[in-house]
Amino acid sequence: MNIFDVAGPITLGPSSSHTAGIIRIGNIFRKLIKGNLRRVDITFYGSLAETFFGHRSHLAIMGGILGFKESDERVKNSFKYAKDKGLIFNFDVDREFNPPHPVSLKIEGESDLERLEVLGVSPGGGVAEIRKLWGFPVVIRSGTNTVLVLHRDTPGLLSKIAGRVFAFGINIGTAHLTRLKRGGDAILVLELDDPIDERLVRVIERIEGVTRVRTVESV
Amino acid sequence: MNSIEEIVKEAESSSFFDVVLKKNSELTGKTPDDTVEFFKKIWFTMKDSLRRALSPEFKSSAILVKGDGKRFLGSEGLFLSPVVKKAVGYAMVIGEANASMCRIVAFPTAGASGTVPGVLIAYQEEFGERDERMIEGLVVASGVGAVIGNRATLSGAEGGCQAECGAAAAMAAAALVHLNNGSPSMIQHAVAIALKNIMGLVCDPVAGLVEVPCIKRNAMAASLAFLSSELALSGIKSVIPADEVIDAMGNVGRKLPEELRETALGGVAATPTGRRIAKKLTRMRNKFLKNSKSD
Repeated sequence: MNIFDVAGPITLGPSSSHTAGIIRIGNIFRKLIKGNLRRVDITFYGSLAETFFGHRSHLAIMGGILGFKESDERVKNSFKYAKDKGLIFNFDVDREFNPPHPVSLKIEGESDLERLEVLGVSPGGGVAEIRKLWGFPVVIRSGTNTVLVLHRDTPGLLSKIAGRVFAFGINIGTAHLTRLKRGGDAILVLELDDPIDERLVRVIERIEGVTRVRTVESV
Repeated sequence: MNSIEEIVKEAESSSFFDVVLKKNSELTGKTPDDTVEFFKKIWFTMKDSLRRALSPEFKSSAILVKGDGKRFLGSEGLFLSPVVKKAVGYAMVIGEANASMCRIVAFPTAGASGTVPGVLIAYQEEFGERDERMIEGLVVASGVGAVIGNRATLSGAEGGCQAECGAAAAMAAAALVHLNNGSPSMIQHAVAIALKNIMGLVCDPVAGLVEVPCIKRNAMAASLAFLSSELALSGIKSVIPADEVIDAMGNVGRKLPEELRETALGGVAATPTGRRIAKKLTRMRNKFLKNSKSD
């Protein structure tokens, strides 16, 4: 721990894990879903199912989904902004589900282009993590430059993607590859040391076997 | 950033502030200028949070506590010196702003976010210190916070309130000693005294809200910062060195039952009144879940 970890974040109260971290989960979700958002269904799990209301985590997640940052006081009125945009939303709690962390939630979203379901975790200190994406167990962390590549499990694909990243002069900090079954859908999660160039995304998209590319940028 | 004693030793030929800056540069690769710039933003955000929370337009949306800080600041002085009275009032005002979902600086945490700005802004107003020096105070405070975080914890869920408001009191005390040109070793004693005096304090938020007892605990921590720094500045030493006190605090925190670590199951949260409030909040939550559906 250094002194930057102690001072801050600059955030909305009342609790960095129940507000800042939750807002960031919403921010990441907004980055991951393409198109105009029409509807979101949010389910709170674990202790969050009990504590969300007092900590205004419902306002936090809605603000995050609308793209407001963790220090933006518009979050306080996020329901109004959501209604003005015509966004349909529902909240629920599920105490049966055993989440990976006490402060966890699920977002199911629908835009004019696609549907997306993610599992978000707020482990503390305002950090956010996505733990499930496109049906895969993943770890996408806030504050990182992460590229997510959905592709068909084929020999040589990892090397092609890594080669494109290298061609842009960017170092890969961490890499995680998972597949559902041999030759089936697979996901590659790359944390990069530098900000992601939009051109890099288009280059990766053009690789044969790649079906979807999404990015999350460090904030 | 693992030992107060180490910082104090190195500070013999410079200052506590310089050593924290230097160590942090080694740790993060950020230049001292970048670090000072970062803390400038922290400092002015703290002042902005307080200014907005004190303005007539501020609307509290806290659930249990409304207007205590402002009321206290408007009350006649009695026992506390002007700077302590102001610091305590400011700490509560920021605590309530935090509970109202306003923008604050978690320092070291959101729950304890009133203490350090309360103490330092009151100090600046009463003693007319320059912003540059106040920012030095924040760096010193954060150095102390980092050691507490590394040796023990800064989380109420892990170590109880002693790890949040207690750490904030120790951090503010260190800043006060630095601002009064106390020696690095006086900083160490102030930290040790503050943490010894709050050893074992549990985290027992009523209904899980960051309001009761949290807001008044920030007031207490602010006053403790003045007490500890003034004791140290008068030359009084802590028999137990700061690092050992921090280790003890970490050990005590780990021994606290889960009920007393932010779970809202023990302490004042478990009193009949605390439970009644929790039940009421559950009813409010259920009503929200019933009504929040827009289709």
